[in-house]
Amino acid sequence: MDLASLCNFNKTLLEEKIKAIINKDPNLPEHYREHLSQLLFSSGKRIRPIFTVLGSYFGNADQDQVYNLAAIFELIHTASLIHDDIIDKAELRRGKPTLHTIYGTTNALILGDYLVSLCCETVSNFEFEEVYYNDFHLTDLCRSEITQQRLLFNFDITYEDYITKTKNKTALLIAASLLGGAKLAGVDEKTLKKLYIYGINLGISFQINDDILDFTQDTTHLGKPNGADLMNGNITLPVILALKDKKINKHIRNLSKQSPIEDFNYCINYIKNSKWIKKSHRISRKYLKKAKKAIKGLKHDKKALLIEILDMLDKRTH
Amino acid sequence: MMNNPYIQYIENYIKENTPLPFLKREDKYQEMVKALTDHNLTDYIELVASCYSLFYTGLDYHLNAYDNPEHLPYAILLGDFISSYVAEILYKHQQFELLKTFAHTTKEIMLNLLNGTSDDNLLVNIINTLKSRCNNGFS
Repeated sequence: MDLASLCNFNKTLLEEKIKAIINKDPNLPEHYREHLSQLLFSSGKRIRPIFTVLGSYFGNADQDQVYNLAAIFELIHTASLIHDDIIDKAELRRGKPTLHTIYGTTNALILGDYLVSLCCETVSNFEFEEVYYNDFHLTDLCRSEITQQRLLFNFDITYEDYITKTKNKTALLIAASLLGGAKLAGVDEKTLKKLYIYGINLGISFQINDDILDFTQDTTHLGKPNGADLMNGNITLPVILALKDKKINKHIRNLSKQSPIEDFNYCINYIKNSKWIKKSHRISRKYLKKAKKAIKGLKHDKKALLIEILDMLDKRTH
Repeated sequence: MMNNPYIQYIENYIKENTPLPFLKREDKYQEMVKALTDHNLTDYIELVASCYSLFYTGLDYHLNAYDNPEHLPYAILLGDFISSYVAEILYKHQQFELLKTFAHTTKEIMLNLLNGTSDDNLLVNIINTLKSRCNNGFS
């Protein structure tokens, strides 16, 4: 069973809501709309919308409104992917050519900006300001990405730096999605606080798993070469841990933007088959335990679902 | 403009965290100050003129990003950072009508750019929003 089925998530309703938003501007040139649709309706995991819907289960909400908010979170995530692909010089996204390879850098940037403004406009139209802006700060995400740029190929990055970056880059949006749904459903402050801590810790664990999969998953599933993060200079948890290893430390520290591919592959293969992957898994599990602890005192029949999700993420292989 | 806290915050952030220069839009700041003064809406100068000017700063980073491949990631992320900052300070000040005007009009500006035109009603729409608020008895 996947996360969507476990949460009784209505994919069709989400897609209807997304379509309603992206089809409302007659002035958007049709070829842009088509490519946006391809990106939005390809095989994305829908993590953020699922968490919005999940949050709404802890109170009473009009599901129509919940899916409107869920669609906004998916759209804002998609806008960030368009810009990320330019930064990463990615040629493919979910098996399709990236927008900047089709339309050029400037047009793809403006299309991403259009999507962000469209989301903000939709937030205003539905009067979602309090559930959207209060807990979700895009500036935190951008700050974290700017810090990441500054620290590319900086092998002195600490475990604490990595966790802070991971929290801002991934966990905040997951927690905000969960809280958004819960707020729409009128959930009380005490429960909101528990759900927020649950979302943050789950989000950190989720990103650590993504960073592990970057080394271990087969390239067909990954859609990019193993170790792409390291090749881009992005220092993730398995690398931070491997830097403690005398056998590979010097090799990793010698890597730079100009290093030959063989040097990267040597380090990537070493890390992939090392104990540092297991150690990273243990740390990921630690955050799942923290998430579980956060909801310990929660009294609600959907609490079991939150725990099942943690178990599912623990076994995640792609 | 030099004493505007919102613009100063962005200028300092850029100086301390990126290799890029601050793309100051003094022209846009002064354009909004004049429009607000002409319409007797001077209470809003600090917040509105800075949001207006910063929107163009953010857009400039994106429109010029391609010309500076060495720092392309910074230009993209700064543009995103500044546009989100504008929305967040409007939200913090509970300026929901202005937030709606900014969202709708900046979306129209992006659509125009995608269609190869440069029509821009941001100043007019902001002034109209503020005037209609005053006419409805809010200040």
